[in-house]
Amino acid sequence: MNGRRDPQRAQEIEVCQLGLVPYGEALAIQRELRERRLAGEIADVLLLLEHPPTYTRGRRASAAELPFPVSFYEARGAEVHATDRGGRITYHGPGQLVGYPIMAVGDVHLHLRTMERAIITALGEAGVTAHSRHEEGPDYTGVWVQERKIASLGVHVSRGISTHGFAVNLENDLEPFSWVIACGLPDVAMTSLAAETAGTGERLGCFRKRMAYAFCAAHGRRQRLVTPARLGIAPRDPSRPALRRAPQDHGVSEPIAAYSVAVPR
Amino acid sequence: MGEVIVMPRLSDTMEEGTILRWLLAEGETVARGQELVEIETDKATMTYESDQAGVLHLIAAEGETLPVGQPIANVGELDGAGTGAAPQAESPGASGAPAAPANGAPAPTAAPPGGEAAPRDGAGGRIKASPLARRIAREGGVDLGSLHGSGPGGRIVKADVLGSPTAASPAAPAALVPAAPAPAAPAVAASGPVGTAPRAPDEIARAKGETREIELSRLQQTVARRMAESKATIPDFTLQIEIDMEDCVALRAQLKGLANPAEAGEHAPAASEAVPTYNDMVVKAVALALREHPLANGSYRDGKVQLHSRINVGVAVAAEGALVVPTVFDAEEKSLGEIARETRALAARVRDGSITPPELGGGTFTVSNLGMYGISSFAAIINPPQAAILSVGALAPRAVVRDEEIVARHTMSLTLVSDHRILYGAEAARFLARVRELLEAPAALAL
Repeated sequence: MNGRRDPQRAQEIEVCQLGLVPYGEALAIQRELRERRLAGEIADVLLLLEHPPTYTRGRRASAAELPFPVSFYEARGAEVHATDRGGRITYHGPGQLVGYPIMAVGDVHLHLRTMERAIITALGEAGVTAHSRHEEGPDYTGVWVQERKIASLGVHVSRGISTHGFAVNLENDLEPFSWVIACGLPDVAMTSLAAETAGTGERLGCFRKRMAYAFCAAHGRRQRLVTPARLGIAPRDPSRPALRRAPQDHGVSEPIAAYSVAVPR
Repeated sequence: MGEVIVMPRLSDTMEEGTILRWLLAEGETVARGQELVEIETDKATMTYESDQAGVLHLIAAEGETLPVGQPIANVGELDGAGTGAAPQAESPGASGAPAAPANGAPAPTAAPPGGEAAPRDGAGGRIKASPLARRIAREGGVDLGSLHGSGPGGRIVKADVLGSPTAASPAAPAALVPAAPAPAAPAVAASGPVGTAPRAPDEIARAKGETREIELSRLQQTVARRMAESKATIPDFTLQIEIDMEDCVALRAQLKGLANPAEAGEHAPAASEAVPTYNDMVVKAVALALREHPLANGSYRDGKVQLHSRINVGVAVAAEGALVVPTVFDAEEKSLGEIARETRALAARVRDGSITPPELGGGTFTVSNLGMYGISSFAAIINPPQAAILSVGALAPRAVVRDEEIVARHTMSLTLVSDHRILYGAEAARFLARVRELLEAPAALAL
């Protein structure tokens, strides 16, 4: 193989459901996949997952955005991580759908706008009218329902390959957002699919499928569902109970727990 | 000799970037292709690889935000190599003149295709190419050396790479392909018609005397971009109507009397502040009419019409060197007095610069008024993605025919410019007629 991929496959984005993954592990997975994508070993990938309660700080997050000591957040069962993505501080927790596209990105703004468009489409199909506000400035990047924020974006691009991505609030607890200055906007109100539909909306398992489809469609490409094993992501500790099972495709049955990268660096 | 590294354009829409972190320190040696600096634009951080080799001299500090094209570092062969010596067209050098790409020129793709081969740096054989072009070329397996650059100084730009036969391979990111402008083709097909600009422009420039360039602020750049987008993409049409404002004049006199019983006239600002203007009446009438004509309150996005549950009327206000449109949210639910107070407060905040982005966004319709300058009628530019904009002319007594006699009446012209993708002629006409109805019998406005 000379590194050039099959043309058919290049039109596809491989979508992989990982279930609930601790933030640090997800970071390691992304970095590994970025190297493999850079080497041309894998196609563009969209990882869909959830995180346990975690605060992540982007490169420009200021100290004031985390108003309490780290111990305050840890006492409430949340981890605090510094990351290399763009943007400020945000919160991740179970019930929020996180998407990490590991893909070749030519134009970073286009990448952000395409993600916004895909999220708006998926939410629209789930009955929530959302919109982009990027015209109002970089702090307003994300997806909004009127003046309430429903999805956040933050990406990192290194050697033309993206990591990090988007997070859509579906049925997660929104209170932890109020313990920080989310996105660096002091008065931003967060919302979720559940809040917008008075709890009658789609659950994560259903919305996840819409999101994957809308993301690939926004890029004008098709999705191919792949298992974590296929991407070389293997369960790290099979004894850990599966908190949420990722859907299985191709008839391959796997215990889904926490993942680590199979290939040692 | 030293080479200047400038703030790279990492996106067609990027205007400025923030230096987040230097990955190499002052005085270190950088290799071509080595990751040099991490830059943030919008909510993306990006590592930028050096396209030059040598000893690094930092110009921009971490945390600095600079427009595209501004120098951020020098790369020299030796310590203390000249910094301002770089003759590159893209580098502003030491003169302090603003770099051409920073002026919001819509990306180098707009440059006329020139036939010159991509110039190489004498010493290192480096090919001049934009970071975006470099990236696409690498992704698509295109050899930059085989291309001709159509950018400034023969620099290879995105269009050159996308237009190359090898770039058509499916490995090129699909998302970029639709953006490929047609002019890319001739640039590659032929090194033929070289449109080397003759000296004429210089002579023309001299005929205009001294030329001074004015930098556009971020706000002005945004206005420029959105107005051009509006004119270039919206199939608009214009409807005009005359309003008999006699009843509104009477209503305003009544409201003035209520607010200021002493009848002191216009000299008591505290009292006159509460009296709604004719523009406020137009805003209220428009809001009520929008409730009955939801399409006029809609937006056009991605081939679909969006209807909005809230009626938020933007009122165009001329501010310091720019035009901004503060928004009266839920205008149809507000009384005339509330609208008057709110627009006045918003206009004041525009002028003192304390207005916040949420107050400027969220509008679903715009009213623009030049009547105070005596303009009898005009057609404003639609504020995308809104469906229409209403232009208000001057109110004045004019000769009109009433009951077959010529009489003097206070009249005012309203001009509606609509996006035909959302509003068709008849619907726009019905909306405008409804606005007239409300203004000619303004009792409903006073409720």
